[in-house]
Amino acid sequence: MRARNLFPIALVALVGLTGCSSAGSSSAPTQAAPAASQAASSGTLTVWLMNGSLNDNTVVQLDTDFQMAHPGWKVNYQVQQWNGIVDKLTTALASNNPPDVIEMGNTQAITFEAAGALMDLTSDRQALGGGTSNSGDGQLFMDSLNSASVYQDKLYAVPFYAGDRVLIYRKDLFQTAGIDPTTITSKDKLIAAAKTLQQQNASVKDFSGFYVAGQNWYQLLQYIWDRGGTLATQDSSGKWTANLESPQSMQGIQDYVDYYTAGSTGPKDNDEMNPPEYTLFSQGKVGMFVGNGWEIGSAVDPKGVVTSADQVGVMGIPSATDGKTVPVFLGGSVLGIAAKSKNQAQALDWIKQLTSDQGQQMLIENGWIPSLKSAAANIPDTPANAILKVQAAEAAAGSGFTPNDPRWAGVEANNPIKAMMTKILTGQASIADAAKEADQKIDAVLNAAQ
Amino acid sequence: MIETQAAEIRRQAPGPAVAPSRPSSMRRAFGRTLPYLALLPTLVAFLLLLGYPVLRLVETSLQHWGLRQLFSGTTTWVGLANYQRILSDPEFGTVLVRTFLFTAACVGLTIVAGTLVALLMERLNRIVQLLLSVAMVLAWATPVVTGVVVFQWLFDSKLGVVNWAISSLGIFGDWLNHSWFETGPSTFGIIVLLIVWQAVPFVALSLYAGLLGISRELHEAARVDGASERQIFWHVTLPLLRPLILMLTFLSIIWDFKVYTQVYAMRQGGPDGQTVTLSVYSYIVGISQSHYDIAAAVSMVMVLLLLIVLIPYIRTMIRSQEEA
Amino acid sequence: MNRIARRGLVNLVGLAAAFLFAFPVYWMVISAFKDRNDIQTYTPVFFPVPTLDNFVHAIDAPHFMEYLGNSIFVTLSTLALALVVGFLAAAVVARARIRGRRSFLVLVAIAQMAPFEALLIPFFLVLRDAGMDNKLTSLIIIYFIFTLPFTIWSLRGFIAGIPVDLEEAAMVDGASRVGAFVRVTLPLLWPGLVATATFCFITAWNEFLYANSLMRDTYTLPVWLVSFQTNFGTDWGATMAASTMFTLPVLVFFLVVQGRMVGGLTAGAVKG
Repeated sequence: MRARNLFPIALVALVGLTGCSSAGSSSAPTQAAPAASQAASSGTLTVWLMNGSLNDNTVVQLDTDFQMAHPGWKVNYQVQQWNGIVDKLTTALASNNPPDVIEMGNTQAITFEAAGALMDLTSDRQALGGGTSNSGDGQLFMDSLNSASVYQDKLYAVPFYAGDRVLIYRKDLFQTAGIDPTTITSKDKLIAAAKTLQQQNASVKDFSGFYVAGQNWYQLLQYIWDRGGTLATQDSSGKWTANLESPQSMQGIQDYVDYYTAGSTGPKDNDEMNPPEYTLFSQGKVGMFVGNGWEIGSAVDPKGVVTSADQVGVMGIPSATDGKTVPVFLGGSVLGIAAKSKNQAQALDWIKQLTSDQGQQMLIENGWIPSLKSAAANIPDTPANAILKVQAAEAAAGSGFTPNDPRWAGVEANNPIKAMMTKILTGQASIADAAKEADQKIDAVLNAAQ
Repeated sequence: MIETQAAEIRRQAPGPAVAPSRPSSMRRAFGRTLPYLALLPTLVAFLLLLGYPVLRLVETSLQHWGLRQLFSGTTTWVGLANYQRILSDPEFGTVLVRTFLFTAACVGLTIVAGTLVALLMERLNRIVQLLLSVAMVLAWATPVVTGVVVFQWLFDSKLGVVNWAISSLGIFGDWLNHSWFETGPSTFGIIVLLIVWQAVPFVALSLYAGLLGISRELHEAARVDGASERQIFWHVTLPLLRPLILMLTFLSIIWDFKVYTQVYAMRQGGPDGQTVTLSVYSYIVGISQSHYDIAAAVSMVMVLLLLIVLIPYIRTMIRSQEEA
Repeated sequence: MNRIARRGLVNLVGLAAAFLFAFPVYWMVISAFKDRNDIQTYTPVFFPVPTLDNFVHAIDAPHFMEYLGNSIFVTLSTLALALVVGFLAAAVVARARIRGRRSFLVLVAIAQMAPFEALLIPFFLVLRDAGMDNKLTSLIIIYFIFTLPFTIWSLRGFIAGIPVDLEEAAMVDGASRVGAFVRVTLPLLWPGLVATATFCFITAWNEFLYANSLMRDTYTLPVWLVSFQTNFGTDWGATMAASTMFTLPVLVFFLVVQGRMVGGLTAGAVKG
């Protein structure tokens, strides 16, 4: 089984190299065609992408390109739901007829990589445009996506796209209040602006100048990183130590508390999705909030208060240090090939379409930070890309990720960080006590026997 | 007429398996095997279709079995190590006690409320009765996750209808920022309410069906004898409903002991792990990390606990119906 | 006078109970008719200006009709299997005093305790090795096993609750044992059958975990129901609209069988 697959893969890798060198021309994906058609003259490639990843036009384009380059091949493209996806991928990858290409959230990928469910792509790294090495200077993918794709120094997935949070604000309210958004360059200035907005909009019931939910732990992580803190670190023996009680992390937690107490009407016992921040923003109850790029589209609603995109502005999330932005939590997805796939060569070709120059442009058009650092640094300066450019600039300045360990899913299953946040905000515990308690819980899960 | 006969026959020894007046021995033999033939599909379904997967589950609980083993196909036996790991977890005892209390609260409330609603149904006029049935079926049929979300909305601290309504009444002061999910007991209150809301319809409609089976003449007779409504309930209705109530309680205990979606979806076991029941525990330490071995061990422990608690109950239940 | 007042009061309590059961459902339904950003507001809106956007969006989702067809097929097949097999077993254990009856009931009780969430992987492995994963038939078999223990216990309870002497009276009139059961007990059993069948219907109709994890090319409606929840926020309006449409078939089913129930009762009453 293994030996039989080796030949076409090696061949594709080789031909892929030439494909890469001519990338840039719109016909780039066709370069890999000969290899694939030698592996098998016809068949069906099954591709599973997640709901919301790529728009229909992009998918049609990708499939048409693929079928043109691989005569006799068809693409069976299926959209998967996020709800219940881990159970679903588990059974699908273990079935005798698994999908060939699958998309995984970057926090989920490690689970399948560690289990041996995915094809080892280490030898194809360069052909995929990811550089010569899994780390360091030879590494060309976005760092957070790359670390989600590498397990025990082997590449098991290909970075797909990334997204991060930005500061979303009401341009019209800023104007009325006489606040110049470009002057909001630090924590203190953000808090001052929030208070001004609240005074100006005192007539709006339940208005928050800067809306912060009680349990937005992604937002909290960013403030912790901003102060130089970390969530957890792993020593050479593999032992994890959670660091929420470190002085730096506690300073980040204090920042969060300061933002919240500056006048947020967010619930102390719930997160950013309950209620969704963008609906409150749309209802005119919010001056600023930290949200994902797509939330702007959801917030603009002809039937709401925010009826036009012109009312919405975006900027990098200010750091405590004047003039800087906080390191952002880089969410996103990676693509993998099932270890039991019978069409691995074709699957690899399909994925390569996305790491080509043309593919990276497609990702940008879909509103995502593309997977290659070089492409992310050169997002075309168009009005449509305005938000994306802010996001990419933040990510380039610094980003972070949750501990890359299959056991981390166990931490999120009953998140002690959320519990910590509510305890602090409601005054049930001091920052130091609550952080220490959360650290103990995280340590216990991350260091449990595998 | 009939009801006195019924009471008499119930007190008699069990009737013969087949009708006595069948002359041919062939037919008698067939008649004797007929009941077993009727049980055969069930036996096949349980022993083959369910029995084998359950055996695999037992096996899993005695092995080191995670996602890696699913893909490699090779497993190692670890004896009772998975069980040891759960039982030595200091949290396990707390979770266990909590699950029993939670189950008791859900079952108790469901059965009492279900009985009351069934009795109410009997006394309503046709239109109100239909309205109540429809309302109950709708509650029952609401997709579980949607039900959870709606309850979260209703009990939201700032945007919830419940806090708004309490505050608007003006009797209890301002509840607009009251958090129902800040403490474990309060969160459990909402979860229990949700479960009872969706469980009462089945219990009430079943008991109502049972009430319809009780001959009206039996009540009339008791009334003629001068019994009060309350006496009729305690001495006529309830004894006749007892087998049905026992059965519904039995089913409710199993469901509520195992219930997972409502409990986990409400607050992911929060606040601070205070609503973690056994099935949620199984998810957190097992399934969420693809530790199928641990999840299997937890579920085996759950089945064993149910068996220990319910075996005497099952005996009573079978006896109560056969003696009735 | 007093009697009338009491009746009125009882019906009022009935209305209050109906209100309590219906209110969360009402909240689901009006949320479906609200604009997507006005679902959760600081001041609750009880009677929104209705919009059909959410319903249009929900029906527009790909494969809706296909999944609806699958759901109806799987649910009705499960129902038929569970009721037929369960009824046979229930009738025997409730009426025939055969050897091994109690052991059989204990076995059914144990089957009722089976942990279905934990059984996902074992079930999957068995089906995969038999080449039966990714088939609607497999879902039917699994839901059948899910609902069978309950069906047997429940129907047995209802059958045992119907006095055997009614049947025996019919047999004295010359009916056969089975004939007496069909003519006398079955009509009286309708209300119990309705409750049991509704339970089986809802269980199969709502099941998500197995439908999502065992199928790969086509699905049932619960998978459609979660398709408005993504990592990029949840479209609650569409989710509530979908949930509303999702519960309707259950109501229709109940009303249809309940109509039969009333008919059945009248028939039974005549015999009694």
